[in-house]
Amino acid sequence: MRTTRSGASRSLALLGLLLLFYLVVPIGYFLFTLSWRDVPAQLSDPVAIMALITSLLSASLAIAIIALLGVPLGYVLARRNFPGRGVLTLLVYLPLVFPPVVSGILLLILYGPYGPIGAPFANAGLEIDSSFAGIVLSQIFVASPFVIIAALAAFEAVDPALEQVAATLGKGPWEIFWRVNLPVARATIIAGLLLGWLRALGEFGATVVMAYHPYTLPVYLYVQLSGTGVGAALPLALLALGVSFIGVGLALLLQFASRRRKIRQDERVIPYGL
Amino acid sequence: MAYDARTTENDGMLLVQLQQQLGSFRLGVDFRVPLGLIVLFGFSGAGKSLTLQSVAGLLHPKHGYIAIDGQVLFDSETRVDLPPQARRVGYVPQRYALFPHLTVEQNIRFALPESPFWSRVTGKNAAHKVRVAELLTALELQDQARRYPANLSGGQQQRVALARALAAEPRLLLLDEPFNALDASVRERLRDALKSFQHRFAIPIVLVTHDHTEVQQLADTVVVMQRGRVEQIGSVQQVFFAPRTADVAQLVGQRNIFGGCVASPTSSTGDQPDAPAQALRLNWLQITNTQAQVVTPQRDKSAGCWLPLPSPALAPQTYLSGCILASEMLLHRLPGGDHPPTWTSRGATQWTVELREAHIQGAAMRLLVRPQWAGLSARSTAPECLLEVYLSIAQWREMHVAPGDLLLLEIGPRAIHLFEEPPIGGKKEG
Repeated sequence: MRTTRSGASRSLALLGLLLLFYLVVPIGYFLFTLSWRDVPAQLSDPVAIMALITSLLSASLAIAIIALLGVPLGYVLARRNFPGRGVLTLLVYLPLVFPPVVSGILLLILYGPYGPIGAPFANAGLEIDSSFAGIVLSQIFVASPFVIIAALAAFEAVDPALEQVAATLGKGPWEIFWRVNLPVARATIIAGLLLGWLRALGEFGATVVMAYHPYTLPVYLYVQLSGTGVGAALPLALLALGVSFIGVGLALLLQFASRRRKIRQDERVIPYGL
Repeated sequence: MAYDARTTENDGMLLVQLQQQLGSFRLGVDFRVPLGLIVLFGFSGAGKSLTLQSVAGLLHPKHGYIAIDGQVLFDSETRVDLPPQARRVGYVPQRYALFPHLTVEQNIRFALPESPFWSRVTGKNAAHKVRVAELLTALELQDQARRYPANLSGGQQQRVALARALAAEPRLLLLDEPFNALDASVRERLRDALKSFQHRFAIPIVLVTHDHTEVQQLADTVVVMQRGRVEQIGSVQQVFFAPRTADVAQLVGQRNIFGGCVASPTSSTGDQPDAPAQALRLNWLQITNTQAQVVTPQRDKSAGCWLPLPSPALAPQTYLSGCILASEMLLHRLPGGDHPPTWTSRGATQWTVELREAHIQGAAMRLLVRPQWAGLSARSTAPECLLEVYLSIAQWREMHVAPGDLLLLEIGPRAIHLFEEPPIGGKKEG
């Protein structure tokens, strides 16, 4: 169709390209300017390796906890109608838009050595801040919106008629959740988990306030940057970039796969007043 | 309610009574019909789907009673409300709701009762396998067994939905607009297929539709619904050729709706020996496709405003409304020029009409004709007063006429159907 390729759409494409250019150029220049020969040596720094392991472990633990609690929350927000549902959904979005440092401060005053929850632990010699637990807590705080929102959207997109049919086929509510809702929503939820995991992995602002030690990769990156200079931080940046690339790629692939399987649901009919 | 649900003999019957207020919509359904192929017929928004969902147990009406073949599924008085899982009622929603993440085979297997844990682990439940294979063969889905619903045609999706519903061994199947999601070209074939499916599996079906052809081709019993209420229950013949109310008449496509008064035409048409002792003086005629009315002059004595009466024993001055059945009128070529309406010896009235339009509809000819009543058109505010007439194609061919020609329209007593309801206020003579 010729009419759709109008001048308007061409100028819009041009504007979009401009932004895309701005986003891509730093990555390209970074890869170009990196002294690749020094990368292996710098990455074998034991502190860097420890930081990477800490990041991977904490992010994985955080995302496991988020999955366990966030997926049910997404389901409830998508399927149940109760007063305050809108406010609750708004609350879920908040950690997404808070400056991460603010999130860190909020957590610190609660879980820090003088906070109502942190103090008893600190007295027992278990400091929540400046510990692995502190890292996981900050990551859960900032990464859970990704999962909850993905789960909400995924469950909302499940045609209620599927549940109705399953019920008439003799299946109880639990079985319907496990065998219909969850599998149909699975791809979008996994994509959300991947994005949440990446967010947790890259978490800096809240972590640096809540748990400066043990180093996570982003915190160590910052330490290197401010202590030794840009040169020392570059190989670590490459590492972070690589992990992000793989993660985002997987997430997009999953979403594409789920879209292909969907049957047309455009003319879904909702009964009166329900 | 005309009968007490609890004491009536309900073997072989579907009994549905529902009272429910949903926002501004009021659902008040009450019918008792023999199991077979029952069609809930009505415009969208009539409450058909809600009724279906109530039978399936997906909606819980405030008051009501639902029983299939004497087995009570719902009774608000004794607080019986079986959950959908226990009703053994198969439900196929509008777009079939196949599980998109399961293959055809797995969709059908889903409906089978849970197998013991060990057989699920080994994945080999022989009885299930046999049952799934049986259903796949019965519905000609063997070649699609391993495909996903998204890769099936509409007709195949429908068959999977039917197979899946059957797998749970229901005592009744509920189909919500089952042909809506299909191309028009395959609908007729699939309607036939559904009929033979029903005979083959001997399963009662309740089908929801707003489509005339579906009702005519499939229904054993028609339940006509409008605005949340049951308007008429009957066979296809009864509903289409003897609609109980003007609303049903419009639903089934009878367009020539009129109102009139019982009177004696003999005094006004003294020169006509064949005029019956009693006839219907026409007061208004609803115009095809529009809601406008043609009001006949109050004191018009011309015979053009008369219609024959199908049943003679009616009190004079009785006010009636009804419709002139479009397929029960006769058209003749006009001998000579325009002449005033007359009565025939068979008790029919003959009007001169002008042919306005003729086109093929289905296997018949649909004609729009304009009665040549001088007095009427002068007073009328409506653009046109057109009657709808159906002729067979053969009759039409024999006539050799074209739009613009004058014809003789013969309306016999058999063409007149009177509604049961008293005429609605406002449509009366003004």
